[in-house]
Amino acid sequence: MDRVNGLEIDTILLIDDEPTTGAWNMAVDDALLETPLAPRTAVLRLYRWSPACLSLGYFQAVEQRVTHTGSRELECVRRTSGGGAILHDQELTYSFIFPSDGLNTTQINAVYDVFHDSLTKVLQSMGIDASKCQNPPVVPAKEKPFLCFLRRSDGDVILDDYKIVGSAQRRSRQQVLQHGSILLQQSQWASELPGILELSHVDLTSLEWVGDWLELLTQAFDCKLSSYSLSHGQLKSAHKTESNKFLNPDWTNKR
Amino acid sequence: MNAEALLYCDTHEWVSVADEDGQQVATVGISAFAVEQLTDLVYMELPSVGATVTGGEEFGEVESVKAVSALYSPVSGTVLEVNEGLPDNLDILNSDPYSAGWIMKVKVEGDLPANLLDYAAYQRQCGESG
Repeated sequence: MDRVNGLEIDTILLIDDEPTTGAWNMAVDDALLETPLAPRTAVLRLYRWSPACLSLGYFQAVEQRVTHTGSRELECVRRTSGGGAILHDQELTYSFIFPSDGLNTTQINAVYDVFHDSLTKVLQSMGIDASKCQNPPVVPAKEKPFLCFLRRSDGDVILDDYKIVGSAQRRSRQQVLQHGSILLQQSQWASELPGILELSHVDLTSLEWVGDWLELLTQAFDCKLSSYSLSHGQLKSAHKTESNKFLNPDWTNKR
Repeated sequence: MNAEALLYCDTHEWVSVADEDGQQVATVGISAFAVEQLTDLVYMELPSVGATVTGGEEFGEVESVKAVSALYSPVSGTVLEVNEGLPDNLDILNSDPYSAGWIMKVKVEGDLPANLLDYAAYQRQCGESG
């Protein structure tokens, strides 16, 4: 894996969170994106969702929910990142907040590759025949499937033609939030999406493999990991954003 | 519009200011370099006519390659007009970013920000980050 040219990181601050609601998960990521990073520092947050939740891509219309009956009863939250809707249930989610000052779009896009390359490699090390999607057919925006995992983008991680890892970004002036979902197992709310367990018969739900993945990531960025918890100010900001934005129907239904 | 006659933000928006009936009216768009870098624009959100925009602050958003990015206004003022057909025909930005691909027209209030770049300075910036 190549390092991202121009992205110099000495330390990744690691947050390993307990499963929680969609609104809180998005509020924490928002607080992290809004907090100026210390020089040569990034934040990696690993988390899960309880209860299961549907997240809409930032530009998706909420009316499109009717096209996916399986998730009709679930809570819904609108992400700030792009892409399609994700059914967050049997997955591991990551958010990576990194400095983008001085980086061009090609360099920022290369961060997708760092994550997907390292995940592909760690899955392959466990005998899972994962690979990266290359040159998928171009689909007009209006014809893209509602669910992210039914869409294909260059670099998505796939297994037996099914997408098992996808990522999206929100770019602010100085920093970028990259979201990614690793589909460990099929959800009862989205039976059309088999996960790694169904496709490979390898059970990754215990997350014991995550340490190996993090080692590959730190090698790719040539940096160290350091455990991190949200500051009082970040928690306060997240609580405010949770109620004012991610639990607010005006935000969820804005399109 | 002639790209060489425009002013630019370091965030890749261009602006052209003209005197219309005694009012300073700015036409704003995004540069060919930005369009090329973003590669595959799929969504754009425009400001509302009548909205107030502030120089250096967000006025709209775009999505490309699953990434949502803000658009930053080069000037402060009131939005007079937006290119309503643009979000449904973003290909225009590839073919004609400096004329048909304009995004909004703003009645300028106050002076233009001093940090706007001329074409040569903007090209240098693109060269450094390209």
